[in-house]
Amino acid sequence: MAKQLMDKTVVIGFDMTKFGDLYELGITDIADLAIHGALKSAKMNASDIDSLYVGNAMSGQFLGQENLGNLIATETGLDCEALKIEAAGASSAVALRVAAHAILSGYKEKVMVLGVEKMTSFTKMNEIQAALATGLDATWESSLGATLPANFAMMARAHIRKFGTTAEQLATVAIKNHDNARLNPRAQYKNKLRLESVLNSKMVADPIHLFESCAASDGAAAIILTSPEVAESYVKEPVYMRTSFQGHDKIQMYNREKLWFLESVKRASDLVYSRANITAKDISFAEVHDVFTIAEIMAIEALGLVPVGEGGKATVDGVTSLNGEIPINPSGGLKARGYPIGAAGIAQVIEIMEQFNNLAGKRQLKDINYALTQSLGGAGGTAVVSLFSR
Amino acid sequence: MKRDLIAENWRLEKSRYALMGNVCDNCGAKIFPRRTLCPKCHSDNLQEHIFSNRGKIIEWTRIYEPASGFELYAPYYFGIIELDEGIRVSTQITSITDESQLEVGKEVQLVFRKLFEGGPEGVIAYGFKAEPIIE
Repeated sequence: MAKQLMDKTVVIGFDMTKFGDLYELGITDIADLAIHGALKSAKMNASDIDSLYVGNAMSGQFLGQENLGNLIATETGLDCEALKIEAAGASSAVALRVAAHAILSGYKEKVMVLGVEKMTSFTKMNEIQAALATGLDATWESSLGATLPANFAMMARAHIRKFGTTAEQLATVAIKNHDNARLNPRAQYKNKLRLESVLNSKMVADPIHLFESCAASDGAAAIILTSPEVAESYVKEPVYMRTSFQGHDKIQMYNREKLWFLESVKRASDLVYSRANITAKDISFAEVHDVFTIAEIMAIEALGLVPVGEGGKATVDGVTSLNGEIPINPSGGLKARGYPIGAAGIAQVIEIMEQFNNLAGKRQLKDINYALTQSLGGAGGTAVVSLFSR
Repeated sequence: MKRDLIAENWRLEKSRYALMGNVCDNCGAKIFPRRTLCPKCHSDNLQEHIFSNRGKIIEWTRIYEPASGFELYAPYYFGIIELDEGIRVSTQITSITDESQLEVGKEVQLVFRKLFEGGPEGVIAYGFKAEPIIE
C-alpha cells in the first residue's frame, strides 16, 4: 500500500438537487444547482475551486455527451480543469477518492466533486436496462442475455439457498427505505410501501420484484473537498473523511467464488477499518448501495455491521431502521431517495454531512460517532467504502 | 442505442461457436475464452483446446425484463454453468419444459444457437446457450 502520513480530508461545502424526474432541467442545469449550492454553503466563489471531478456513468449513452467535465466546467462558470470519472454505479464514489488523493498529495487544494446523471427524459425502459447492462462484461455476460437485475437475482437466490433469507425479509429493505425517504424532502419516492405491493409487483428477474429495484432518476450532488489546514478558514467543527478504499472483485459474476457474498465490499471495508484502527462495532450508521434489496442485505453483511447470513433477519427485526441499533440508509437510500447513477456516491456523503451537522430534520440520528458510505459498480466488481467522523 | 457486437462476435467465433479456449504449456492453466496471454502466468505459450460442452448449473434465474436483443425470448431462463473441466460461463438456459430441470447441480450441455440480430444490416450473432440433458 502507498505510504501516506495522513488520510484526512474535509468536506467544507455541499448541496444536492431533488432526485426524480426533473423534466424541466438538463444535465448542466442540475449540475449548476448542486455546484452553486455547494459554493454558497461554503461561502466560496467559483474562482476558489482548483478542479472539478465529475462522477457520471451514462452521459455518453443517454445524452450522446462525452467530455462531460469540460462541458460542466464551462456551463457552471467554474472554468477550471475538469474530468469525468466512470465506474458504473460507483462513479462519484471513485471520483471522491481520486479528489482525496489529489488533496493528500498536495497537488490540489480545493476540489469540487460532482455526481450527476440525467436518465428520465431521453430513454425508454428497455434502453435503460441495456445501459445498466454495460456495467457488466458486454461480450461474455450481456451479449449472452445477462442483465444487471439478473446478476443480483442470482446472488439473491444463492443467499436464499444458503441462509434461508425470505421474500419478506428482502421486501422489508425497500419498505424501510421508503419509510426513511418520507422524512427526506429531496427524495424521489415518499410513498409508504406495503409488503403486499412489493411482493405483488412485477417480477424483473426472479426473485427481484420491480418495487425492490431502483427507478430511473435525474439529479446532482456536489461537495467541496479540501485539506484540514485549508478547512480551518471555512468551518469551525469539521467533518472529516477519515479514509476511503476501493475493493475489487472479478467483473464477470460467473468467475466469483461466492455468489452470496460481496467480497469487493469486504476488501474495501477491511482496509478502512484497519487504517482507521476501528471495527464495524464503532459505526453509528451507514449509507449503502441498495440498488436492489438483496444488495443492501449483502452490503451490511460484508461491511460487518450484521453477521453474515443475518442481514434479512436484522432488517425485519428493525436493527437497521431509523431508530434501530445501526440505521442503514437514513436518507431513503438508492431505492427511495433515488438513484441517478453517477450521483449516488456523493448523495450518500451529503446524508452523512447533514446528519453530522444536525440538518437531517425528522430523520436526524443522535449520538453519532463514525459513519460509512458504501458504493458498488456493476454487479459488485467495484466497491468503495469511505469513513467519516468529527 | 442498439447493441452492435457483430465484429466482436466474429473475432471471438472460435470460442463462441466451438468452445475453443487454451491450455497453458507453461503453468497448465485451462483458459476460456481463447486468449493471447495466460491470465495466471502471462506466458504466450498457449495451445488451443476445445472444451467439453457438458456441465452443471451453479445458479439460475428467470429474466422478465430482457437484455437488449433478447426481447423475443422474454421471459427466459438464465444461469451460471460450470463445465466439466472447471471453467464457468453464464448464458441463457433454453428448452426448459419444467422448472425442476433447473435445480442447482443439474447437468446441462452447451449448444450452438442464434443470439440476436445486430448492426444496420441485421447480421445474426450466434453463440452458446445451455439446455437440459434428457437421457
